[in-house]
Amino acid sequence: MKKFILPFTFVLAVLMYSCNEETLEPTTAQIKDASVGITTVNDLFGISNGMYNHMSKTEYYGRDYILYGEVRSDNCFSNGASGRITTPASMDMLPTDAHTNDTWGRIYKVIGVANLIISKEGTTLSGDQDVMNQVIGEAYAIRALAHFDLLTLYGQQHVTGGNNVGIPYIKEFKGTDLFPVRNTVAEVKGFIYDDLTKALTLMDDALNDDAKQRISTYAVDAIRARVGIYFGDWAIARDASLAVINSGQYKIIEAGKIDKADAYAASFATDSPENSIFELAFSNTDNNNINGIQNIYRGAAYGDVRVLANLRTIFDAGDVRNSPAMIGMQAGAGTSTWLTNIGKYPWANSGDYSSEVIVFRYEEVILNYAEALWRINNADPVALTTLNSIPANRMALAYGAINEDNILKERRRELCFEGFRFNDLARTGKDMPIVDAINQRYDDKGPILYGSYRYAFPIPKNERNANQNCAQNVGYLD
Amino acid sequence: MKKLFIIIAFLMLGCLNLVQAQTVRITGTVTSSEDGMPIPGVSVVVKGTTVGAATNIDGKYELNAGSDAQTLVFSFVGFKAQEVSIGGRSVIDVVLESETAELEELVVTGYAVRAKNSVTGSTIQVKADAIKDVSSASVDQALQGKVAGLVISSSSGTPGSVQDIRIRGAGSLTAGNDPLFVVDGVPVQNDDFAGSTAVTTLSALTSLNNNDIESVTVLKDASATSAYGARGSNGVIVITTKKGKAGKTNYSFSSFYGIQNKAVEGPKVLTGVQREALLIDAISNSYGVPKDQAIAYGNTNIANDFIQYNQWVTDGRPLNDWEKAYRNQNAPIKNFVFSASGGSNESSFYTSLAYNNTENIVLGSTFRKVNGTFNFTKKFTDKIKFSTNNSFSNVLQDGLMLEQSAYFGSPLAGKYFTSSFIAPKNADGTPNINTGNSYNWLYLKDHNVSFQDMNRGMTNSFLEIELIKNLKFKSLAALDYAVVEYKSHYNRNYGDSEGETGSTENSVEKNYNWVVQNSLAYNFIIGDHNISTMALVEYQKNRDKYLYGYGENFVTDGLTNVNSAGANKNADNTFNDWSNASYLGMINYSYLGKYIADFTYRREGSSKFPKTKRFGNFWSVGVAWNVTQEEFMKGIDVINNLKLRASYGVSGNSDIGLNKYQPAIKFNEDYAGQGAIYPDGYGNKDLTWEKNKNYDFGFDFAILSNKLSGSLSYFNKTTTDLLQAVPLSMTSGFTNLETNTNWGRAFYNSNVGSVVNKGIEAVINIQVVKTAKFNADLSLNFATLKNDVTKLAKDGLGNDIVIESGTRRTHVGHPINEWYMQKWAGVNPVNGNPVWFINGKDLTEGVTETYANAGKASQGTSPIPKYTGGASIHLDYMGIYFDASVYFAAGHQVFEDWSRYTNHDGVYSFRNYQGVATLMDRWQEFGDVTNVPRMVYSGNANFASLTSTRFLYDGDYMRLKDIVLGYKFDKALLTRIGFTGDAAIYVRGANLYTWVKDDRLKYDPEVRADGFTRLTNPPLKSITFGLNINF
Repeated sequence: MKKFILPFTFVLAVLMYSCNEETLEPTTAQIKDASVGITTVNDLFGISNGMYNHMSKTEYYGRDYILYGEVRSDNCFSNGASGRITTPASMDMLPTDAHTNDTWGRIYKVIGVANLIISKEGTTLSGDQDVMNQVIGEAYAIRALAHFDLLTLYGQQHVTGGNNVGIPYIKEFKGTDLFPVRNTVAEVKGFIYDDLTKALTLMDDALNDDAKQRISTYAVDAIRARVGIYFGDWAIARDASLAVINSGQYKIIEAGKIDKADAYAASFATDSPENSIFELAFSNTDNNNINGIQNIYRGAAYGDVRVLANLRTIFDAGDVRNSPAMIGMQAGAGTSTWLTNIGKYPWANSGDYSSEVIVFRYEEVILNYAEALWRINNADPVALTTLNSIPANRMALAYGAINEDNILKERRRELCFEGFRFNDLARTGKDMPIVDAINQRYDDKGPILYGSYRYAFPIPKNERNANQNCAQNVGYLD
Repeated sequence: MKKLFIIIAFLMLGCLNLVQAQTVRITGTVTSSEDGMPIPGVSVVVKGTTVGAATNIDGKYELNAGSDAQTLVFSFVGFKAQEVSIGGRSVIDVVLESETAELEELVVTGYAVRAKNSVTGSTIQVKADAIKDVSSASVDQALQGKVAGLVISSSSGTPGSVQDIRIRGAGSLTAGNDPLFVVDGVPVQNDDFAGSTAVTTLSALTSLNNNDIESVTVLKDASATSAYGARGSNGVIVITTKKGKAGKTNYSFSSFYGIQNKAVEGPKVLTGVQREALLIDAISNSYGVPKDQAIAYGNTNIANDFIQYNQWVTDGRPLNDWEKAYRNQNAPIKNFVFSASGGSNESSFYTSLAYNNTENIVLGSTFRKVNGTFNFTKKFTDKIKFSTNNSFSNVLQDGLMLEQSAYFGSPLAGKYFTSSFIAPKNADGTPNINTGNSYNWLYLKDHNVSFQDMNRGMTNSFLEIELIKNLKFKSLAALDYAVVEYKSHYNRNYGDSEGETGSTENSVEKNYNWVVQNSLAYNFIIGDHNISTMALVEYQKNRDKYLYGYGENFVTDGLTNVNSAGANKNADNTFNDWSNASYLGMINYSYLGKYIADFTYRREGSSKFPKTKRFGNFWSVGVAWNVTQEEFMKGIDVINNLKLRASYGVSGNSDIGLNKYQPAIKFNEDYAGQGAIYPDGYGNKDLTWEKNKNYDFGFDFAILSNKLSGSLSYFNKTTTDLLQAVPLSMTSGFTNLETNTNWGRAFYNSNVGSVVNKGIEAVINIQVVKTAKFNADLSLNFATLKNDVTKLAKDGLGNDIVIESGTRRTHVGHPINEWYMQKWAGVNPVNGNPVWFINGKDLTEGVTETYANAGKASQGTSPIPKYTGGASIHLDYMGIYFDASVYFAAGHQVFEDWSRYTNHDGVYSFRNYQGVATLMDRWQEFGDVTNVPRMVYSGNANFASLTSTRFLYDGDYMRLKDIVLGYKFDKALLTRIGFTGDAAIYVRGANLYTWVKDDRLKYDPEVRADGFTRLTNPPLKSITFGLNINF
C-alpha cells in the first residue's frame, strides 16, 4: 500500500505545482503595462489629459508655481496660518525644502508624460492621425513651457557667479541617461524655441480646443512671447505676440466703464472667457480642494497668502483691478482680518474650488507686445497705444509715456496674483523691494539684492542624492 | 468494528467466567489530581489481559478480575497512565495526574510541534498565562520584554492600533521589516485595515481574543523560519489557539476592570502668562521696542496678531489648559471572557465568548471588541482525525482621531497647536468655536461621526489520515474574511469641512484570504535513528476589494450619510490580489536523542515578481547536540541539561507593494471631464526575492537541579539583494507625489545592496526558592544588536547612492537610517542667536549662526536600540502571588518631530500655534547662558527649531511593564462554601513607571521603529482589577 500512496501523492503535488504557476499571474485591475497599454490615438489623448492633470496639481499651476512669483515679491506674503509657503516667501530655502523638492518633481513629471507622448511620434496608433499630431504638438509645447518654468526657478541667470547654469533638458521618456547633467541657460533657451517650432509644425488651428483647456496653436505663440520677453529676445517676443493678436481669437476684457466694471472680476469667475488663451480645467469634483490656490489666497485656516498693502498704492482711483471685487479685507483664522486677493482664482463661496487657473491670457500678450515694440524702438508710437489699451479698459488713467517703470507698473496692476511679479523684477535686474518689513519677513539677512544666490531655488537634496551630476546652485550647501 | 470487537470480547469474558468462575470483583473511583473531580470514561484494564471496564459519569468503575490479576492500568487521554498493584484490595481509588504537567516541553514551530530538546533553532515560547490578562487590545503588545531580541513599540496608545515589531533588527531598507504571523499553522494577514491614512490605525491582530491563545512562539533563526521561506526573514510569530481537552467540561470565567492614563505625560505647554512674556520679548527683540511698550506697539502695527491676546486679557487672563479639556481622566477599561472546554476520547471542544470595552484617554473615543470562538476536534476512527478552529469578531473603534499627523482637527495635536490665549469653553459651558486654526475637539466629538468597524471571521479546518502506521496525510483549508467599514462625517458648521458645508467619506474594504495545505508526514525509527519527515504543498491567495463614497454639502444637521450629501459626490473602488505557492520539505533526524539534525527546504513563488523571477529557493540546516544525554555525563549531577546548537539557512522577503515590476500606467485621474492616463512606476523586469542568510549558534543549559537554566545565542543575519527603492533622478518624471511613503522621491525597485544584523541573546531563569508553600523565580533576558549597511546601489560616477531624508541617512558602514543632521552648538550668550557646528560634528571648522551654513554629519546612532531586555520576578506564598516585569531599550536615539513648531523661536510659539514650556528658558539679555535662543517676531525666526541635534535625544528607557498582585483561593475553603473549582483575584498595573535617561526627552520614549516622537496617542498605563474562575 505504501508503494502506491507515495507516488500518488507525488503526482498530486506535481499537479498542484503546474496549476499554481498559472495562478500566480497577478490581476491588474487598476493599471496597465506601459509597454503594451498604448495602442490607439485615444490612449494618447488620455495620456495628454494626464499631462494637463499633472500641471493642475498644487506643486505647479494648481498653486505653488503661481505663488512663488508673488510671495517672493512686493505683492504678497505668507502669514504662516497653516505653515505653508513661508520659506519661499522669505527666499530662505534649504535643499531639503519641500517646496523646492516637490515643484521640481512635479514639473519633471509633466515633462515625463510629455516625453511619453512624444515617444509615439512616428509610430502607428489606430485613430485620427491629425489628432495624434495635434496631441504630440501639444506635448512639445508643454515640454517647452515646463522647462522654461523650471529655468525661471532654478536657473542661475540672475545669480552672481552662477555661470548661467540652467537645468537638465529632458527629451526622452525613461531614457538611457539616468544621471543627466544641467544644460546651460542658452542651451535650454534654444531647446525651448526648437520645441515650440516643432509644436507648430505638428499642430493645426482647426483642431484647437474651444474651451482653451488644452494648448492651442496660439497658446504656443503665447509661450514663445513669454519666453522671448524673459530672455530679452524682443523680436521673437514681438512676432509671437503679433501672431496671437492677428489670430483675432481673443479680446481684452472690456471693463473701462462703470456699467462694465464687473466684467473684469467676472472674467476670472467664468470658464473659458474671451481673453483666455490657455487655462487649466477645474470643476466641482476635480480640484485641489483645501490645498488649492483658491483656498490659500483666502481660506480661514489655510489662507496663508495675503496681500501687502503696498500693492493698493499703485492703482489709480477707480481702477477696477483695485475694486472690492478684486482686493479687499477678509476674515482669516479666528477673528483676524487680512488684505486679500478676492477676484483671481475666486470662489463663489468657501468650499468652492472649481475656478479655472488661466495660464495665458490675452492681456499678457498685449503687454508683451507693447514692451517688445518699445525695447526694439523706444520711439515706436504703437508701443504706447498698445500699453494704454489695458488701462483704457480698467477705468485707469492712460500713460503719458512708455518706459520700463510704466511697463512694470502696468504689468503689476494687471497681472498681480498670477505669478509674474518675481520674474518681472528679476529679468529687469531689480533688487527685491522691501515694502513691509514686518510681513515680508526676509528676516535679518538684510535686503535681497539682484544677483543674490537667493534669486534661485536650491536644487533639491533628493535630486542631488540620486544624481550628483546635477550640480547644486551657488550659495546652497547640500 | 470496535463495537463488534468489544461485544466479542465481552462474550468471551462471559465464557471464561463460566468456566473458571475464579474472579475478584474490584470497584473504585477515578479522580483528577488537578481539581479532585471524578473523570468519566477512564479505561481500566487488567494488565496483560483484555479484561477491563470504563468509569461512569461519576468516575466509578467496577470489574471482575481473574484471581491471578496483579495490576490494573488506568488510562485516559490528557492524563498520565497509571499502573496500580491490586494487592488483594477490592476497592481501588485512583487519582490521575494531568499529562501536560509532566511531559517534556513542546515547542510549536508552526508546521510542526517538537520536543524542546529536538529543536535546533532559536525559538522562544510564551504561554497563555503571560498573555491572557494583559490589558492591551492585541496580543503582540503582551510580548514586550518577554522575548530576547524582540522589539515592540506602540504606534499609538489608541486601542486597536498597529504595533511596530522588529525581530533581530531591521534587514530591509524598503521592503517590510514586520514579522510574519501564523495562527494555527496558517500565515495570516497582519495589515493595517484603517480606512484612511489620517486616522487611528486598525490592527488585524486585534480581532483575536487574548484569552483564546494557548501559546505564542517567536521563531528567530533560519532553521526555525526557513519553513516559512519566503516570508520568514523578518522572523515568525506563531500563535496557537486553545483546544479542548478530554475530560469533564471545564468552565472558565475571567474579567477585569480598570482605568487607563498616559504612561508619560508629555511636554508641558506655555500658559497664557508665559505666552505673553514670550510675545513681549519677541516684539522687543525684533523691533527694538522697550518691553513695557511692546503690547501697545503690536496693537498698532500688527493688530491682527493681537486679537486673541486682547480677548484673553479682557477675560481676566484665564488658565486655558487644552490638554485637560480633552482628557478622559482614568478612562475605564472592561473585559469579560467566558470559555468552556471539554471532550472525550473521540472528540473535544473549546469555545469562548469575549467582550472588551476600552475608553480612550481622550474624550469621545472608544474601542469595543466582541469575539466568539469555537474549536472542535473529532476522531472519526483511530486513523482519521478532524479538527476545526473558528472565530468571529467585531471590533469597533469609535470617535476616530486624526492622529497620524498634526491635523488641526486632531485632539492630540490640539494641546501643541491651540493657543493658551483661547478658552476651550465659553462662559455658558459650550465649546468655544472661535479657536483660530485648530478646531475644538469638544465640539467636533459631538458633531462629527467617525468610526472603523471590522468584522472578521477566521476558519481553519484540517483532516488528518494515518494512511499506514506513522504516515499521516493532512489536508488543511483556512479562510480569513475581514470586512472593514470606515466612515468619517465632518460637520457643516465648524471644522475641517466647514468650507464644504459638511462632508462624509465612507469606505468598505473586504479582504478575503485563503490557504490550502496538503502534507504528508512520515516518522520512522531504524535502530537508534529517529527520523521525522514532512512534505507540504501550500497555496495562499489574498483578494482585497475596496469601495469608497464621498459627498459634500449637507443642508441639515444629524444626517451624516453620503446619501444626504447635496453635491460633489465621488466614488472609487479598487481590487488587488496576490498569491503565493510553496513546496516544503522537512527532515528532522535524531540519534538516541543525542544528536539532532534538521533539514528544511522550501520553494516558493510570489505573484509580486515577474514570471521568470517568481520562484525562490530557501533552505536551512540545523544541528544540535544534547550533551547531557551522553554516557560520560551520567555521573555529573550538577548539570541537568546542556544542549549545543547551530543553524544556517536562507530565507526570503517579498514584502513590497503589488505589481512593482511592471512599468505601469494608471487611469485614476481626470482632466476637463475626461479620463487622464499617466505613467506610474518605473518597473523592473528583474525584480525578485530579497534574501536573508542567517547563522545562529548557542547553547541551552540547566544546572543545580534545574534551579538555574538559560540559553545563549549568537546570530548573524545578512540580507542581500535588498528589495530597495533605489533613488532615481527626479528628472526621470517618476517622483512620487501621490502616496505618503517615500513622498517626494523618485525611485525604482531593484534588488541591490546588503545589510548585516548581528548580536547576542541571553536568557537566564533562576529558581530562587522552591518549596511547597513558597516559590520565588527570577528570569532575565538580554539582547544586543548591531546593524550595518554593507552595500548600496551605485550611480553613474560609481558613487554609492545614499538614501537621505532631512534627519536620517543610510550609507555603507553605518546602521540603516542613521541620524544625520546639523549639530547644535547651543546659544550665543552675547546675542542669544542659535549656533551650529559648521561641519556638523565638532569645532574643527568653527561654528555658525546661519542655519544654511551648518553642515550635516552622521550623529553615530540610529533609531534601532542596540540593547534590549527584560527582567521578571515571580513570587508565590500560600496562594498569594506577585509578578513584576520590566523592559528596557538602550543605545539608540529618538528625534522630536514637530519641534519646528512647538519649539519655534519665532511666531509659531506665541502667535500662530503654541510653544512648549521649556521655551521659557530663552535667552533674554547679554550673558544669559541657556539652550533656548532669543525670541524674534518672525515666521522663520533664526531657524533654531529646524532639524538639529537640539531635538535628538538618547532613547534609553526602562519601563515597569507589569506588576501583579493576586490571590488564588484555597481549594478546601472553596469546597466548604460549595464551590468546586479554582478562583483567583488580582490587581495588575501596566506601564506604571517609566525611566528615561535623557531628561530633555519629554515625550514617551517608546516610539515607532522609525525613531520619531509623534502626536499620536502615547502608550498608556493602567490599573486593572481582575477575577478568574474555573469550574
